[in-house]
Amino acid sequence: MKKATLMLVLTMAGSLAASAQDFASRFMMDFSKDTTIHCQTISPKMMEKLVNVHRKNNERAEARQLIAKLKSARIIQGADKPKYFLHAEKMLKHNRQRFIPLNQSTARGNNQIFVRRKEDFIIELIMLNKDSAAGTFTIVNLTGDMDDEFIRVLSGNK
Amino acid sequence: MDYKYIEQLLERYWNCETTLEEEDILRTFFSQKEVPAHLLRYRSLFTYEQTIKKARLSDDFDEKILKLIESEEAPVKAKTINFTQRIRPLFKAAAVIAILLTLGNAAQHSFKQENAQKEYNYDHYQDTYKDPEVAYDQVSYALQMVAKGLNDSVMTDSTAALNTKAAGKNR
Repeated sequence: MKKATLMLVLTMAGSLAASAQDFASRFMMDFSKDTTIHCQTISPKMMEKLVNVHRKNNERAEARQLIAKLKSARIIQGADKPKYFLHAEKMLKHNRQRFIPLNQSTARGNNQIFVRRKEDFIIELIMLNKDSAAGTFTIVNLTGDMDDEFIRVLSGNK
Repeated sequence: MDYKYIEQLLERYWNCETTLEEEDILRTFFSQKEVPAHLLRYRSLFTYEQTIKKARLSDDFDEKILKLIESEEAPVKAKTINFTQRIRPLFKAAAVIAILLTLGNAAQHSFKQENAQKEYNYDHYQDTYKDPEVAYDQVSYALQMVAKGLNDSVMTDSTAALNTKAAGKNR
C-alpha cells in the first residue's frame, strides 16, 4: 500500500515535471555560453499583472484582449549572426510535426512565423526575424491560448 | 514349548486369512504374562485394544482441573506506551490526509489548467522585469513585431484558411 502510494505520487510528480519547454528555452539552452544573445522573459504571473494594468489604465480593449490570451512571452535578441537564424530554423524544421509554418516574408529581412496548435488553439507562436539592415536577430516566443480571433486582431484583418 | 500353531496363525494373520476366532486366539495368547522372546515384538499389536480400554480418567480428574483453574488467575500485564507510540496513529492519519489533499489538489490543478498551461512547465520562468509597465512595453513590442510579420507577409495557406473561417463566422 505504501509502495503503491509512493509510486502514484512519484508518477504524478514526474508527469508534472515532464511538461514541455517552450522553443525559446530550448534555443537558449543551445546558446547558454553565448553572451551576445539575450532572452527577456515575461512569466505567466507577470502577464496576469499586465492584464490588470490595462484594466486600470482603461487602455484599448483590443490590447487587453490580446494580452489576456497570453501566458508568457519571451524575446530573444542578438546580433545578426547567420548561425542563430540557421539554428532556429533547423530546430523548427526538426520539429515540423510540432510547429507548423503560419507565414513567411522577406519584406523586412527574413521573417518566419510558426505555430503549435492544440485543438482549436494556438498554444505557442514563434517568430524568427533576421534584419540584416539593422543587424539584428530576434525570436518572439509567445505561449497561451491564442485563438483565430487573436491572429485576426493582430494581423489587422477585422 | 511348541509355538508352531501360533506362528502359523501369525503367518495367516499377515496374509489376512485369519478368522475372527483365530484372531481372538492370538489376542489371548499375547495377553499372557509370558510370551516367548521371538514373538514379543508382536505383543503390542494384539494388546493395544486392552491397553486403550484401561486408559481412563481418574475419578478426581475434574476436581484437580477445577482446582488448577482456580489457582491460576490470569495475570494482568501493564504495557508501557511512550509518547511517540501514543501519537503514531495521529501521524498515520495526518499522512493519509496529506496524501489525499495533495492528490486532490493535483487533480483540481490539472483540470483547471488551460491548454498552454498543461503543455508547458512555467516553474523555471524568471521575470526579466519587475516593473509591470516595463514588462508591458516588452510584450507590446513583441506583439508589434508579430503583427508586422503577419502584415508584411504574403498569406500562406493556413492564414488564408483562418481568414476564411473567421469570415464565415461573421456572416
